[in-house]
Amino acid sequence: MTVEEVADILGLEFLAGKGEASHQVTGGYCSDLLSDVMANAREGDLWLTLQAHMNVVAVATLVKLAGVVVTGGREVEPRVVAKAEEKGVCLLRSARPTFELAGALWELLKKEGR
Amino acid sequence: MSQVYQADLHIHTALSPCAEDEMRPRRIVMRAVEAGLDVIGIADHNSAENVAAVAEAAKALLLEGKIDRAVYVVPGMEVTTKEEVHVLCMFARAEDALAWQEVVYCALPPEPNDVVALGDQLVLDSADEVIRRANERRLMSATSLGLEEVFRGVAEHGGVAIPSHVDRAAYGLLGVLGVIPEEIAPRLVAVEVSGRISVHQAIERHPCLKGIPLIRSSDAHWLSEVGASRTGFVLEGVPSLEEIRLALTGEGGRGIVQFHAMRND
Repeated sequence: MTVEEVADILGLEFLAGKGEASHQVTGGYCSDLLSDVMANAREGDLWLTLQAHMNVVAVATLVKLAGVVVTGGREVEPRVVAKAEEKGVCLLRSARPTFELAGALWELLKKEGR
Repeated sequence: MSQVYQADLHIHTALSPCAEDEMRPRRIVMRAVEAGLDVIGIADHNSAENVAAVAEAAKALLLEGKIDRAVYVVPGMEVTTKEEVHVLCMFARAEDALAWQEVVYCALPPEPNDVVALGDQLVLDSADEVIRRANERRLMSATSLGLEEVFRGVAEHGGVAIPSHVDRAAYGLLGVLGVIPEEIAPRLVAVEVSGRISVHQAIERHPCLKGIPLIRSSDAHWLSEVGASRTGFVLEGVPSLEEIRLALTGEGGRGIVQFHAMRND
């Protein structure tokens, strides 16, 4: 499943990195501690988090995540959006809380056999 | 005789991967003087390798006549606790900061830095030249040190620990933990509020801050931010960590004065 397809089905708002929307989503990760994501998330994961600051983009690049979804309707500052665009990171947003989105993403990935 | 010294106690150098390349010792000091600062605190992420160079640059620039007054440089660092809270650690001498740095280095994860993803980490000399690229460790990481451990460890090294930008959602004590934990409350000398709100607003939003000395600093990651937020320290003698500590506790006519400039970002 591509980031674009996941975004469509789950109703996620694309903030940046639409050019990379064809990246495959091979898993998901929930954490609001960047150190945890750096240590334990895998390449191709879609990261669901409340964190919306600059380092989130850096972590997405570092771990080669499929993308980052800022949950809970949190605001994302324009300069974070700009950074994501510059680095080619899929940055998305949802009003839904992490728990709900995680459940929905889990079901989607299960159907795909992941 | 007491005097007000303008201080920005939270400035990054190009050692911090997220700081701009222009954050070099001489440039930082000259910018600080332009901005009217008397005291600057160097606080890179999890490292103090550039603090001595900034202090030497301040001395050299004064001797060269390039600046017209002394700038006191507080040796420090900004530690990321395991809870992902940022804490400003300030010391009396560079040696104390470097001794604490050894503890912090042992508590960082083993992965090296990724320059492309995170930014370069430059160790500089007092002439602003690169001595080496310190990418053998990832300074952007959280350490395995808990908040209380950091407070205890800094005290053991004769320093002062001040939670950074507590009002910020990212890495701010109140943003991350929601409260001031009981374990650190007795050791709390002061708390730093970001430049984005005034001290009054900070107390309004976070009543738990009432009664705690609040300082504001720039958290400068590029030159134009140096001095963008600052705190005035009323001191009895020339600036030193001890004078600053006494000013925070209000000893002997010392105290802190707020400057109300607001960041515009």
